Amino acid sequence: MTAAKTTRSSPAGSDWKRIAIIVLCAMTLLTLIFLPQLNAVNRKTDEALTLSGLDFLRGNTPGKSEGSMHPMIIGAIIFGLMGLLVALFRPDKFLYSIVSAIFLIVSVFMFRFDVTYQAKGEFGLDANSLAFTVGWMIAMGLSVVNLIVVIWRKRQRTMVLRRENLAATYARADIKSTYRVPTTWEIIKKDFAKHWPIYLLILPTIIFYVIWCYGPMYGILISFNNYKAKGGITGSEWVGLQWFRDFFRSAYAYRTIRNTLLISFWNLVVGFPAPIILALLLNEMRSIKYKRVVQTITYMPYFISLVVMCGILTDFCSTTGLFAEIQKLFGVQSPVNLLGDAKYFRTVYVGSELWQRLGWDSIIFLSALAGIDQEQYEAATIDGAGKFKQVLHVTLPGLLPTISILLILRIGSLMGVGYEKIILLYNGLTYETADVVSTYVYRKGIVDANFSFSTAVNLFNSVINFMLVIFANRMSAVLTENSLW
Amino acid sequence: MNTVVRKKKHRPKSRKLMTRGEKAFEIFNYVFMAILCVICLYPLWYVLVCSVSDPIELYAQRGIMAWPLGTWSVRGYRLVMENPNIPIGFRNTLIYMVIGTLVNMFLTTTAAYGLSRKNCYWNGFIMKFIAFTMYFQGGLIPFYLQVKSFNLLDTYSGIILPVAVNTWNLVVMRTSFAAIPDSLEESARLDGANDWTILWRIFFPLAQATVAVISLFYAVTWWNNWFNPSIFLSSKSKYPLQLVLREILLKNDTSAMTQVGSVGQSQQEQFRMLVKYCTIIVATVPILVVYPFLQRYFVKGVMIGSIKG
Repeated sequence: MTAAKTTRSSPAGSDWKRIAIIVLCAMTLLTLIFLPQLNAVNRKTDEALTLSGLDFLRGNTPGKSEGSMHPMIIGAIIFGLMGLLVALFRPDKFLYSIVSAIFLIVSVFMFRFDVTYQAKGEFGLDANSLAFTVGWMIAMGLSVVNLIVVIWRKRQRTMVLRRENLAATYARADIKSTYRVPTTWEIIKKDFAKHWPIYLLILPTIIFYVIWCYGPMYGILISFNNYKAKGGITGSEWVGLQWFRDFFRSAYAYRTIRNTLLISFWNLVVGFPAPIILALLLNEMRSIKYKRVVQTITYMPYFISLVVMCGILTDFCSTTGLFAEIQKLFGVQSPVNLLGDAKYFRTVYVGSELWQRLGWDSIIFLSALAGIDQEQYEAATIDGAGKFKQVLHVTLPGLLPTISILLILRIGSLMGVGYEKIILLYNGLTYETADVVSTYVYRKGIVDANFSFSTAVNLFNSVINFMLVIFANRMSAVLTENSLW
Repeated sequence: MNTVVRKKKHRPKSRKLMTRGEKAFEIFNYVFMAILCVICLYPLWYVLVCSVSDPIELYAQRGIMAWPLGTWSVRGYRLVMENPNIPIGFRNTLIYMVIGTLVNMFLTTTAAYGLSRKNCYWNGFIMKFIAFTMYFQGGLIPFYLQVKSFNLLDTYSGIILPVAVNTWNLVVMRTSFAAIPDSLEESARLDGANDWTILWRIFFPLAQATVAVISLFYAVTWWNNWFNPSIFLSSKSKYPLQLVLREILLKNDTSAMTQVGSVGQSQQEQFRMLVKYCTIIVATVPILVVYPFLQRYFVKGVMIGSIKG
């Protein structure tokens, strides 16, 4: 949108808003520094007097969150600094900064509230969980408001531009018009009056997403507390980052992350080029009938359900199974159970994945191949390019957009090795190479019923995954001008 | 964006004489494809052959088989049929598949229609709201707790409702609705049709191909579904087929055998193996029988999915 790029003359009064934000942020930082004094004024407790702002930042506070940096404070710092920076350098985005600044202040006060009451137990209810809950709710609410505000601002800017353009057009044409461009609120009202049946149609799906996708996101809270069925999501004892620390101090962190990355890596190295090669080979086949047969047969394994597939695999891998017989053909005296030996798990996993997905994954490349302009081949032939050179200079460049976007998707899911197949295939003997983060989450959560710990591990994984997707998408946008959004 | 343009393959008809290298490549290519086909087919053939072999001979000596061992027998299949869990599994899978796909399709089509309408103020925002869930989820345990908090554990609705919409399918559906010309909608509106009528009388039939593909994808997902049922269900009478299969194939559940008195204790091990093969065949044949007929829809689905929504 070119309109968005043209800078708009800053509206009158943006200066005081800018100053207001800077003052707000400064006040917050001062609050942080003089927290002990404030505490001393409000609550005359010895403990509060001995703590400095730095102690809070380091998490060096008595009570349950001792020794860990409070997530609220981390969030507060990030949001506050963002608000400050935006206010300083991009004053046109003032609403965003205001929200950030408010978030910062509220967080700091919530935190103070939390720590003070937690330490003294002065609050009637279960103080620490209450403070945390309220703080979290406000933080979540403000983040949502923040998001809406940013989108709102963008729309409003386009509206203002539209208004200005219209006025300019009228002025140029020398038209005296009484037509007034409606305000955003008027547009929304009118839109709803006109389109409510459409929104009604979408409503059930929105409800679905709120309950089954955003509901569980709220449940992530339990990774910061010690979830008990009695206390529920918000009422359980708050433990800060304890589960994360536990995970990273255990030997499982290294093992599961390593296994996840290795399985992804080999899957990528083996499973990504293979369908491309198959598609290229299929494309070179002259007999259409034979090609059809090959396609039908190679797509077929994809339709065998995962459970059946793993059932077949466990049978084949056993010491008397098919693979053992094949090993014997190659002179192996006593074949081992391939699924009972940690050395072979990755091979079996990646190999079976290849078997099942090879043909299916080639479809997309085949369709991309069909989209390459045939004239390019003819031109290449006239220029004296042989088959190989044609593939190199015509086919591969033609496939590049498809390849890049699929590669990005794969890189984005590097940490996302699914649990379904591994749960069906692994056993105690192969945990050493087979146990990935998601299966560990499954075992800890569903099998051991250690809900909070499992959620914490999962949260860590999801955040990494999310960042990978964003990173991959940015990379793709920069390198190939293809991006997912 | 990488919109995939589907074009009829147009090869130059003039067939020049192939060079020697090209000929060698061609032969290699054909042989390679043949080997690939064998690799893709043989495991299934092997299972099929084993399932009709003589159980005792099969147990004694397997090896790489091209043909059933000993006299053909269907004893394994008879044992599979006598196992009550398998018909129950089939029935439950059918229930999940039919009701689940209907729920899926209803929500997906209505939402896709709504979101494909231009000039709706909130649609962009709703789309972002929905797309975000593709990249960030709450995770296994919060999801489980959510199901639990709605008292949906061990119920049919607990299996169906939490996965009532697939975001990817919704996006694909929306794209295909958005491609339908506006003029159709406008003329229908002039004739007094409301959104509900436009959706079901005009858009739904016009996007038939996509609707078929998306329902197929949903149906296949239901057919393969085993993980959610395995954590949400506790009573075996609600198990879908895949979960029953898991018990038999991977957990070595021999209850099928003990319920059947016709097999002696000593033969159990041999029959267990046979029953496994027969179960695999019984559970795979339905989908492999319909697959060749539906193949082109699946392929189409992959292609429309590759066009960015």
